[in-house]
Amino acid sequence: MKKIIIKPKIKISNSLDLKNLNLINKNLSLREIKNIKILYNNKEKKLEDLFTITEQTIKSDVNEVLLLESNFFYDFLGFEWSNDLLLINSNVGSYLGAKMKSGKITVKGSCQNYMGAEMSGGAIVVKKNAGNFVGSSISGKRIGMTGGSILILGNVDKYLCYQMRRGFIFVGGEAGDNCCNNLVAGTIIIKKGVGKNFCIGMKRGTVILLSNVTMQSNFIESGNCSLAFINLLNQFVSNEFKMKIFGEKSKVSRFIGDKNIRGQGELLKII
Amino acid sequence: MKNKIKIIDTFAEAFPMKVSRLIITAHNLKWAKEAANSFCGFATSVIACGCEAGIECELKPSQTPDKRPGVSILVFSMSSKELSKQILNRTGQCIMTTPTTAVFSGNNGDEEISLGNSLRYFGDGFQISKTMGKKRFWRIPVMDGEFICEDYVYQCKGIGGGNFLVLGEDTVSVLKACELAVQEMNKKKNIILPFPGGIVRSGSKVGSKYKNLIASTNFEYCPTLKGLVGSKLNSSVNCVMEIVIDGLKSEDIFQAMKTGIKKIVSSKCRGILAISAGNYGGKLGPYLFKLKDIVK
Repeated sequence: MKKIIIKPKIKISNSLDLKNLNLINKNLSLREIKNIKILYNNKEKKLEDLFTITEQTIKSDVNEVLLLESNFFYDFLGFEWSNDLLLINSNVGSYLGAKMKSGKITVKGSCQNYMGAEMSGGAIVVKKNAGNFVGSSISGKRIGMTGGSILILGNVDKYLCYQMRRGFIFVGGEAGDNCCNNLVAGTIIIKKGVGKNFCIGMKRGTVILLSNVTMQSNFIESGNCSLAFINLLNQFVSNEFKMKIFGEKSKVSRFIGDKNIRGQGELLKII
Repeated sequence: MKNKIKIIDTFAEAFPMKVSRLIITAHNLKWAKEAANSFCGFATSVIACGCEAGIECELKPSQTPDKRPGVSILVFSMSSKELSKQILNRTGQCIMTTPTTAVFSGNNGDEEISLGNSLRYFGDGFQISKTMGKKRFWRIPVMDGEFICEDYVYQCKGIGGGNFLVLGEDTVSVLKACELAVQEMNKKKNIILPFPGGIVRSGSKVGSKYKNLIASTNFEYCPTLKGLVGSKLNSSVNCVMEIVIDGLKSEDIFQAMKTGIKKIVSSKCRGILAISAGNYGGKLGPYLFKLKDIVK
């Protein structure tokens, strides 16, 4: 397998649209990669005009792409990404992993809005914070994330998993306002607090809170029965992300809602 | 002759089957075993039960998907259709009904058998689907919480009908020898002994004088018919019992037979005269287990 290393030649200080970078997934030659068309400040350029690109042979099951010295102007990184591993060692802009199909993206910094929006498979790991609309639908659409998993170790901003359909999201910090609004299905774990209008219009799906958040009146308490599902989820997270989120003797409280729309979503408070 | 026990120069004949492995977990091992025993009840022979099933092994919490104690069961049947039907019905009536249980696929295979995907309708619209990685699970609300069931289990190729016969002077000695063999064979993975306690006393032959009956008593080994029919038993033999083995591969059955026979031979059980095996002249199945090779 091969490793492509991409490093900017100049300081990127305007909007950079890297939507076509996913062509690398088609196992292109170095020459073809250098000729990938990108938009910088709304002007079409070749990848090699802005970046130095090198190739190495590695012992791995998948191809790797390493992007160095990125910043918040780098939009659409990993858009429709499949198969390969994309490693980003700094911050990135919006639409990271949007419509992603498979493979894995790891970001050592933070990212901006619409991360994992409408993704259908694969995994994204963000070591710091994420912006608005993580795992949501893209503006004007009604179907959010439909598969795959997202792990954010920091905080997320507003509208986390808006209209999300399937998949798994873990937030290691806090979630902003309007989190889990219009959730259709999927599993979301939020380790710390949540903002205003939490889970409004939730139809189905599971939201797990690992902190003592006060429930709103549109959620009805439905006991603290033992759920084997929690063990299963714990195991999945442990295998997928090498971390353990619940203790063996965690207490589970279950709430159902949003009752205002006769939703069957569940909120599990695990403390 | 081994330890004064004659090993008859014959072979066991086995045939291809379809098999699936299920993992049943529960709050504790007792309830996992209750569910497994219920599932495997009335699953001794495909002649009239639709499938042959048994507990393969007990599983520690660290070996199960939801980290609870569990058991692994193997289910064998002659056709994919029958296997699907049996697994679905038995899971619905025996596992789902048992307190605290959950059921998962224990193997991979080419052919899917719909399990949670069909059982979910019991949830009457309140069921919840959860996809974790590449697997999908159904959470069906039940009165003790919820029943978790994997979307599909998988069918793979297996072998049924491995066997050997223990011939002895009386019931007590043959039963004791068989019990020792079963105890040892049950430690093996990838096999089950589908009959009650692993032992069968009503060995059968194919067909009958009654036209609608597909199997009937194996008269050659019935001690009470000595002198009446062409018996394979000499005058000293007054009891015969059979141990039937279903396994995933022929090597698994071979090793299980070896373990069982070796145990009987080495334990020098009083009253055991010979070890034989049931076959149909090589016409029924492609897998032949020669006793001479097994005891080598």
